[in-house]
Amino acid sequence: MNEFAVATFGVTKRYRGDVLAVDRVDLRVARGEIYGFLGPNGAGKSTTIRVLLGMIAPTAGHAELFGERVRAEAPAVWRRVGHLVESATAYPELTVRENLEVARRLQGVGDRASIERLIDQLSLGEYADRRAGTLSLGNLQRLALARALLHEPELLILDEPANGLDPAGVIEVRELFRELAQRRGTTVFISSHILAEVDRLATRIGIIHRGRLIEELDSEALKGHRDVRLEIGARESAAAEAALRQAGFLPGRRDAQGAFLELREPRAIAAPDEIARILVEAGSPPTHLALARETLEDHFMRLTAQTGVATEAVAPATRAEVAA
Amino acid sequence: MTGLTAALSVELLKARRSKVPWMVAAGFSLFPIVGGLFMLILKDPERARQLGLLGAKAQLAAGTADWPTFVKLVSQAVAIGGAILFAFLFTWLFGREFADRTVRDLVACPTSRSAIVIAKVAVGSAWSMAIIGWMLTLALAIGLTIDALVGLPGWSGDVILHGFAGAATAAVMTIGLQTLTAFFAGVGRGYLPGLAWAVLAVFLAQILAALGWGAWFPWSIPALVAGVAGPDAEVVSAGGVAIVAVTALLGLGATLLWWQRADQTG
Repeated sequence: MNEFAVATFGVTKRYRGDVLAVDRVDLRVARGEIYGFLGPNGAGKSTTIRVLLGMIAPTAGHAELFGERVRAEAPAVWRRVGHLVESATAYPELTVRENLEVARRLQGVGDRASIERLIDQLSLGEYADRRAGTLSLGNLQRLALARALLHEPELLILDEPANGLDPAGVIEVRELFRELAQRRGTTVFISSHILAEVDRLATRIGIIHRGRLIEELDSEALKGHRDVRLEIGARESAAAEAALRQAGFLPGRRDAQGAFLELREPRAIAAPDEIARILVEAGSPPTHLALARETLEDHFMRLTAQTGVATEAVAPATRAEVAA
Repeated sequence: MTGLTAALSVELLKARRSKVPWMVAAGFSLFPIVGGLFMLILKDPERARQLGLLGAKAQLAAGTADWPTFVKLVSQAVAIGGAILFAFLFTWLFGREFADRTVRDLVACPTSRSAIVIAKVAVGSAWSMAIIGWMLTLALAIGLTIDALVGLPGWSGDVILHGFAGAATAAVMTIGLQTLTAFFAGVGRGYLPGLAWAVLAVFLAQILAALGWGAWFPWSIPALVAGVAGPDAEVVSAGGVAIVAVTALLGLGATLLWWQRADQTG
């Protein structure tokens, strides 16, 4: 049995007009993994996903799902794959239930009860007999997710699955994917611009930029890669900085006004209480002292070289988590 | 071909729920209704003017009020109008998957792409033939009603059978040629390219028929079969029928190939 649910071998896609959308991408997604596929707009995420789904043919290289080469002429593999590509779509004149009936027939699912099960699972009961054309964006997304899950696929390929969902819906869907991966061993390949969501969910992350896969890491390894710093606030930041320098630390300025300092040395990270003691004894007690770990967003921005790490971008929740 | 039965049932469900196939049926129903109206006007133009059916100075050049003229009017409408109305149905069947962006759910699916194309063509053809059956029945009913009310001379089983058989044959040929409409709806990824193609084909059919090359142009041949050009028109040979059949098959092949090979970026 092939150990990879998804594998690409030097996949390259060049569109007319010499646009290189994807350049020699080699992906390996093991069975049961939740793989977060990240990249800025136009990085090649959707093109890669379309190659995986056989919607477009690569200019060079090829993709395999469960060890089987993806080809338009070999549709059997799609029994094992559920997908949602970019924005959710449905037949507007058909009801939610009829749209799922269409999917059930095309997927060759014999069990009619699967429709009611998915309607219930994705909280679509209230809208089951409503035409899809009248659904809100969030409910349309739920319908598309229900369609992707209808045949209990072994692999889910999802492009922006949280699109249009409200915050409760985002959490609900995240827990659903996590449960599918843990209970059924479903492999989830997920592309999303909500990096905090991917951070919470993914067991492995790949970052694509300008068509190239520039990083691929386990989420645990990624945590190790992320920058950690001790943020310090004081009423007299110049005095606080001097005291820290005198104690042998190398504080940096966190912002243009210089109101916040930061320390990156491991001994400062390991003992914030010692830093507090130094500042109190120097007559500049800290007004703010927090360990902050670079978020996935920061890491992503740093990696794609679009901007440096932005203090403002560090979510308070992340600080609290790290501090805890 | 994996999943043809499933694809057929899905296409039937979509066609039943949509307004478009019913609108096409309604459009075809207008042909015998208008034909019947013309018969009433031609039968008594003065009374038609009094009733406001005909403008004071207008003249109707459709011919005389009799069964052969009525059947010819209906056949003309099928041969020329049908090419546009059937194109509406086929461009909806294929183009809607791109307009609604549902094509992405059809291409990465255990039901093969060829099964989906064949199912669409089959449902479109069956629906079109049912419409023609309904329209000819309606035409017969309208003709008989007018005959009973004001009298419509020239009734003969042969005239009816020959005229309606010509209309039905023209319709079947026109339906076959819709595979090209399906192809352009796919290549153009929407409704308009299929319809634009249908309008262009009808336009070219008129021009080439007028120039005497109609028997060689697939979109002119149905009109000739329907006897639109009159009894002295060129007789369509078996070769003409073969031209239509080969064109229809080429259209089907091109559509199948396009769905199988083309990048689906919609």
